[in-house]
This record gives sequence, structure tokens and C-alpha cells, in this order.
Amino acid sequence: MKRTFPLIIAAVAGYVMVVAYFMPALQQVREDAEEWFNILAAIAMILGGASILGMHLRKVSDRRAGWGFSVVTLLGFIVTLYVGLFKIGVPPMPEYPDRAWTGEYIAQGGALWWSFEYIIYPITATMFALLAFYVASAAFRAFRAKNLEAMLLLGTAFLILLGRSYAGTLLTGWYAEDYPNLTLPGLTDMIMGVFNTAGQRAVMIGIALGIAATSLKILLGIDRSYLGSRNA
Amino acid sequence: MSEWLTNLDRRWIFLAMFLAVAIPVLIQPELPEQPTPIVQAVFDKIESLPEGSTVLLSLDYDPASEPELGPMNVAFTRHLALRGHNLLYITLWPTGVPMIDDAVRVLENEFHGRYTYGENYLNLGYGAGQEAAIKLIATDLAKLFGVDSRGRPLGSYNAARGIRSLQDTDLVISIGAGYPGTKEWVQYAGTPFPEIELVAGVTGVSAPPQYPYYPQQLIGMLPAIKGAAEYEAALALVYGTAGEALPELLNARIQEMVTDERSEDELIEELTDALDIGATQMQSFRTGRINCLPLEQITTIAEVLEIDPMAIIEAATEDGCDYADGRDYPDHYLNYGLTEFQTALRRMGPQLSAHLLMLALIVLGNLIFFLDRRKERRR
Repeated sequence: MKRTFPLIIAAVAGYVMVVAYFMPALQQVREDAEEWFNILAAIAMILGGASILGMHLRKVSDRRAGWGFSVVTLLGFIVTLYVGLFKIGVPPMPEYPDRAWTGEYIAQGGALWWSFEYIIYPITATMFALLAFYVASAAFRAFRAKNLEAMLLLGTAFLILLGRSYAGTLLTGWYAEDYPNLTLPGLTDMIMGVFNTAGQRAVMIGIALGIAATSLKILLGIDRSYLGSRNA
Repeated sequence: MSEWLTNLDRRWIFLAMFLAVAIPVLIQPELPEQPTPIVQAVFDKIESLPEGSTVLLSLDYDPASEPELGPMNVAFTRHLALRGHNLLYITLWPTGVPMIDDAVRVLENEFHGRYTYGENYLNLGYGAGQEAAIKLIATDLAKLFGVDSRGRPLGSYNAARGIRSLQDTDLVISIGAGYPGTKEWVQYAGTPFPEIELVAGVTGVSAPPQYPYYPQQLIGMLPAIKGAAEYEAALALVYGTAGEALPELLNARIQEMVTDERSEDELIEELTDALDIGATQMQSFRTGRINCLPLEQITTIAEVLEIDPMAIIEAATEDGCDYADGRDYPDHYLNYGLTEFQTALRRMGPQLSAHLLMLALIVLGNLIFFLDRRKERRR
């Protein structure tokens, strides 16, 4: 029962969505199912939160390696949840100055806004910016013309790096009027518009066929990996 | 030497990258950009919409991608507001809500009095559900965004009047950094509902997978920071102008003053220094695109070009500027040809030097590789 029931739910939901796609009369059913998805997604968020709490609390209580990081995670989670849910520091809306909770939860001046502006913003921006340093190091150490494929990749990288910056215009701009497609920006556009597009389309079609095959396996109950490893 | 380079401490590379980005950030070189067809298509689409059209902007990114996508958000907002369209902002990323605030700040600061909340624009906030959210609002906006971020029903606002679903909007702009983003907008809004017209702005990393959608599913696209810079250039070309009389007067006077001792370039340089303006604005002078100038600048120009200030004011008035009753124009007011409005264009300098450094590192790395290989063969 524990296995069969979820299987039936998944199969029925899947079949309804497939059939509704082809039958306009069932359009409303499809729209309702999409609304259920949103409700389920919201509930899944709560379950996800509970799961994070449980996992990190266990790690702290067992004093496993790196439990200090779990304490930071738990503190961050609980404090953010608290200041967000209770709108700590949020100024009320000008129309209702006496009602403390009327302001937007992320209104300027609130604790949640403050944590976003001065913690999340700089941390995420810094993490992303660090990529430039590691990419530069990798370019020096790993980007080698070892074989034909690597040489092609290297040549393309050269063209794109030059063509997507002002260097491309500077180096080849002088003959842009006569041979626009042979300038570095022109060649870059051709690589992106022809070779890249062709490759991306092939990948997309492959993925789409793969998704169709996997979906069919799930609908027919052949693939049960989504129920957990023990049911696969 | 080869051995030293082979075992080069990577901190030297980090230092080189730091300098490659930091120096242009401090110097701020102005590098001109020309809009490519894929970017121009977005600009032309917005230009072609009739005034008062409703445009939905989905800002699906977080602070990590803000340096790349933020300028697109600002440029789109400026352009749409200049055209007088109604704007609806949403985000499918929980961390994307403050990105809407960035756009709202532009409307409040630059279009103060002309754009009011509820009348001309709305912040609908975050919508959960990723692609399911797009599918839902494609047929019924109220099912996900029944109220705005202030908790009031959409029906109470003029900006959303008559908009029941995405199909009622005139354009959807997706600014996306990943999932959910442009791909999902194409798959779940643009493709099943051809009446929903889509344009996009994406990060450099996520641009290549979106190219197959152009020009059928996506009317146009701003790929990476270069796309944003090109869009700013397109904006400056059209909205950095005021008229013809003033540029004609100044250009004629400049030509008159050119002598064997003083070339046109020298005169322009003198004028640039006296006005303390950037090359982009000076380019506007030379190509005849000048906005309503503040009186202080008019006095300076009059001094350098040895001309009556009243003649400049008369020409500017002919172009639509109004200096009656002591009215003045603030410096840099709404001239989108100015560098202060061109965040993406300013970032093209650091981008150029970082790209060149990467190329140098690749060349150097391969040089060492081939030298080492030759040595091994000899042994």
C-alpha cells in the first residue's frame, strides 16, 4: 500500500495532464491541477524547512565533523524566519500608521531587508565575483591545445573573448564596412547564431526525447526511482 | 624561466586579475558600442508599442547576477517609462524581490511625478511554483497574483485594469539568470500562447542555450553585459537628443572658429575640458545630439565659442527647451547619452581587460605546455 498508493496518484495525475492537453473540454481540470501544484510546492517548502532543521539539529547533537557550520545554518534559518514572519522593524504603511503589520515584509528599514541588503547581497555577489579569479587560474593551468578538439575549443574561445569585447571592434573595425561578417564581432555572431544554435537544438531535442521516454516510464510504473532508492 | 612559470603561485594570477578589473574600474574608459541586430530587435519592439501598453517584467535573478542583469532591468525600465507604458513587475525567485525595488527606485527618482504606483506601475512581488507559476498566470493572473506586494487586489489599480492573464499584456520581458528563467518563459508562455510576445535579457553563461529561440519564440535578446551595453547605446542614440537648432548653431560656430593654429579636435577638447563632461556627451555635441542644457553650461559654451549666450538659449528654445521665468535644467538631467546612466557601458572597460588577461594566460599556459613537451621529447 505504501508503494502502490503514491504510484497510483502519480500515474492518475500524469494521465489527466496528458489527456487534458489534447482535450479543450478538460482545460479547467488542467488549470486546477496546476493550482494544486503551487499549493503542494508551498507545502514542500515547509517540509524542506523542517528537513533542514532536523538534519542540522541531529548533526549538532551528535557533534559530527563540521557541527559548528550547522549551528551557523540553524541560527541563520531561525533568525531569518523570525524577522520575516513577524515583520520585525518593518514600518507600517503610510495609510495605516497605527497598524504595525501593514508594511511589506521586505520593506526598507525592516530587519529582513537589512539582512538581505547587508548580508545576502554582499555574500552572494562576492561568491560570484570570486569565479573570475578561479577561471583565470584554470585558463592558465588547464586550457591546453592537447588535441584537435581542444584546439578547436581554444580557437573558438579566442574568437568569442575578443569578439564579445571592444578588442574585436578595435582590431577588425577598419574593414567592417566591406566585410562585416569577417570581423571578430561578426564571426562571434556567426558562431553563436549557427554553430551554437545547431548544437543547442540537437541537445534540446535529445533532452526532450529523454524526458518523454522517462515520463512514459513513470506513467507506466516502470521507473519508480522517484519513490526513493528502496523502491527503485 | 619555464620552470618558474610552470610552478607559478596562483596568487600572482589572482593579483593580475584583480588589477585587470580594478584599474579600468578606477579609470573608467569609455568604449563605444553599436547595437547588434538581436539587441536592436528588443529596442525596436518596445519603440513600436503604442503608448500606454502593458508590459510585464519578470526579474528572475538574485544579487549574484545583479552586476550583469541589473543594468538591463534599469535600461528596460527607463525605456518603457520614456514610452509611457504600464509596468507590472514580478519575480519567480524568492531572492528576486529587492531587484524589483531597484526598478521602482528608477521610476521614483527619474520619473517623479510622471509615474505613480498603481496608476502606471505595480510591484506584484514573488510568485512561487517556477514553471507552474508561468503556466498558471498565462491563463489567469489572479490565481497567483490576486493582490500586489502591498496586499491590495489588482482590480483596484489602473495599471492592471483589463489584464486578466499574460495574454492580455502587450509584451513580456524575462530577465533571467537560470532556473526558472527565460527558457521556462519560452516553453510555458511564449510557445503555447503565441499571442504572448517575449523578449529577454540573460547572463553570459545562460545566453548560448537561448539562441535557438531567436527570432521565432524570442523577438530579441540582450546577451550578457555586452547586450546591456548595446541597449544603453541604443537608448542614448534616441533619448540623448533634443533637437536640431542648437547643434546646428554650435557646429557652425565651431567650424567658423577653426583656424590653421587651432584644429576642430583641439577646439572640441577645449570645450570638453571647460564643460567637464565625458566623451559620450561630447560625441553627442559633435553628432548633433544635445539635450536641454543647464544655464551654467550655456554660459561656459558661450565663453569658449565666443558667442552670445542668448543665441544659445534661443536655439535651445526652438528645440523644445523652456527657459522662461528663470527655469533651468539640472545638470545631466535625463540625457541618457551620459555615462552616469550607462552602467553596462562603464563595465565594458573591466570586461575588456579581464578578457585580454584571460587570453594572455591561455597563450602563456600553452607556451609552457609546448616547451615542456619538446623538452620531454628530446630526453
